[in-house]
Formats: sequence, C-alpha cells, structure tokens
Amino acid sequence: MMTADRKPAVSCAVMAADDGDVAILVECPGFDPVAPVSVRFDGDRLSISQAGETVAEIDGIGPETVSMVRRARSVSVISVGDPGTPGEHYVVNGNTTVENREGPLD
Amino acid sequence: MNKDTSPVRALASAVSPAYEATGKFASGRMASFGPKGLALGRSLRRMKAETERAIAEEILAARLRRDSDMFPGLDELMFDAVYRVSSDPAVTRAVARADRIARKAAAPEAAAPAASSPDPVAEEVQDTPRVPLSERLSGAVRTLRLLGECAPLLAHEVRAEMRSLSFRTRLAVGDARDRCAALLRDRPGLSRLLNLAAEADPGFSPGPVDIAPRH
Repeated sequence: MMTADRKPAVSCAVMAADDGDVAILVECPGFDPVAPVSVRFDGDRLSISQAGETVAEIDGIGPETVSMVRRARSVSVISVGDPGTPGEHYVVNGNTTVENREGPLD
Repeated sequence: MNKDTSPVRALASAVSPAYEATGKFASGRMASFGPKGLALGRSLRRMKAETERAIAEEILAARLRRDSDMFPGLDELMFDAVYRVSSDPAVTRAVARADRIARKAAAPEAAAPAASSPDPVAEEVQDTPRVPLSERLSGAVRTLRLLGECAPLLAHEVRAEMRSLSFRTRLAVGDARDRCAALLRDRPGLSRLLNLAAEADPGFSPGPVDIAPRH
C-alpha cells in the first residue's frame, strides 16, 4: 500500500558500473535515503519498497536488465529530484536488498 | 573497484558528494524504462560531465595562472614563433643539413657519401644557391628576436588577457602549449637550428624565451 505523498515511479534508468555495481535511478518523492530498500522483480515488473510500502513500480523491464540487477555485486537505488534541473538532486541509498536475486553475494 | 585514477575525476569525487556517489554509474551501461527513464539516466550523465568540466576548468585555470607567472604569457607567442620557424621550408632543409652534419660527425666513415653519389640534402640546398643559408634563416632569426624583444612588453597585457579568456580559448591555449612542447620534443634538430642561426647572425639571441621542452 502507499500513502498519498508517495507516488510510484513509472520510469527508471538502470545503470551498471564497470565494477559490477548497479544503480537504479527513479524519480521518487519522499524517498528515504537511510531506510532499507527492497527491490523485487515479478516478471517484467520492478517493485521498490521501503518499510513494507511500495514506493515505486516500473513495468516493462527487459530480461537482460532483470538478470543484470539480480546478479549485480551490489545495488543502489538513487532517487533523482527533477531530471534536467540544475544542482545535485541525487539521493543514494546503498542499503538495498534484491529479494529474488541470482548468484552469490560478494 | 573503479580503477579510474584521472586527476579530474579524483578531484571531482573529492569536491562533489553527488559525483562521488554516482559518478561511476554515469560511465557505464544504461537501460531506461518508462517515459522519463532516459531523462533520468541523462541527468546523471550530465551531472558527471558538468562536474568534470568544471574541475578541468579549475585545473586549467590554475595551470595558466602558474605558467603565466613563470613564463610571462609567452606560451602563445612561443608556439606561434616555433610553428612559423618549423614550417619554413628553408628551415626544414637547414635542420636536415644540421642532422646530416651531426651524423657525419658521429660516424664519418659510415655517413660519408661515395665520390660519385650526389648528396641529396646538399643538392636541395644547392637548388637555391643565390640565397645563402644565413639569409634563409633570417626570417626565423627575426621571428625569434622579435619574440624576445616584445615579450617583456607584452607580458602584462598577455597575462591580463589570459585571465579573461573563455574556457574554450583557454583550452586552445593549453592545447597550443602542449603542441609546442611536443613539437620541440619531436624536433631535436631545432636546437641545432638555433646554433646555425647564431652562427649566421652573431647578434642573434633568443632572448628570454625558454625553448627547452617542458615535461
């Protein structure tokens, strides 16, 4: 369930660094940079949750991207303020768990 | 681990928390989903590029401030002079001649031509027998002398000018300096050329210009 001030994202960018870490960028108002984040894939749907509450849902994730995230060395969710506006609006939460991940954790 | 040790990126990481946290992702693969997905990824890449550009500009500005204090604004003038000198066909032949003389001096028996074989460099020089070497070098000598005479007068103006240059122009100046240094490194005959110039014109002096390649 969601509260009124938390709207699920319908867009995201998944970016992979050379070292195997992956970041999921979402435009997600009210994102808590400290609280644990849970990432879950159900088919092509990506759900991002905090404290049992879904804060973002994105459909249509490609299978390669799903596999990349589930096999990533680590995953960070980055909340982006307003894309295209100047300034630093990136809130990084590295306390992310991929619920149905593949492969061993480092 | 991110093994990028670029000084620009290291500094960007040090001064920008957002860059430190997100910079490495902006360099890698990206997949976007939904109507704003591409904008999200691009915003991160734009932030990274803007941060790096700002840091590079600061580094360049610091370099120019330091260099203009050490060598009072001579870089552009020096590059221009060296370029003109090195692109003069007469100078090119003179450098080749100087190289040949040096090779002969180093190994006279190996480099000595047979009595019947023509010396291509000498022939090339002889193609213009009416113009002695000293005169053919005079353009280069004049350029270098003018450079030496004008530099102190121009130093103040050049320094002020460099501070007001646009970023793009300052990049061009930095590039010109690097090209100049590369040119000097790639043309070891240039020092011999200057010796020839000094022989041709006893009054010649490169003045305060530091022609040594900088590393």
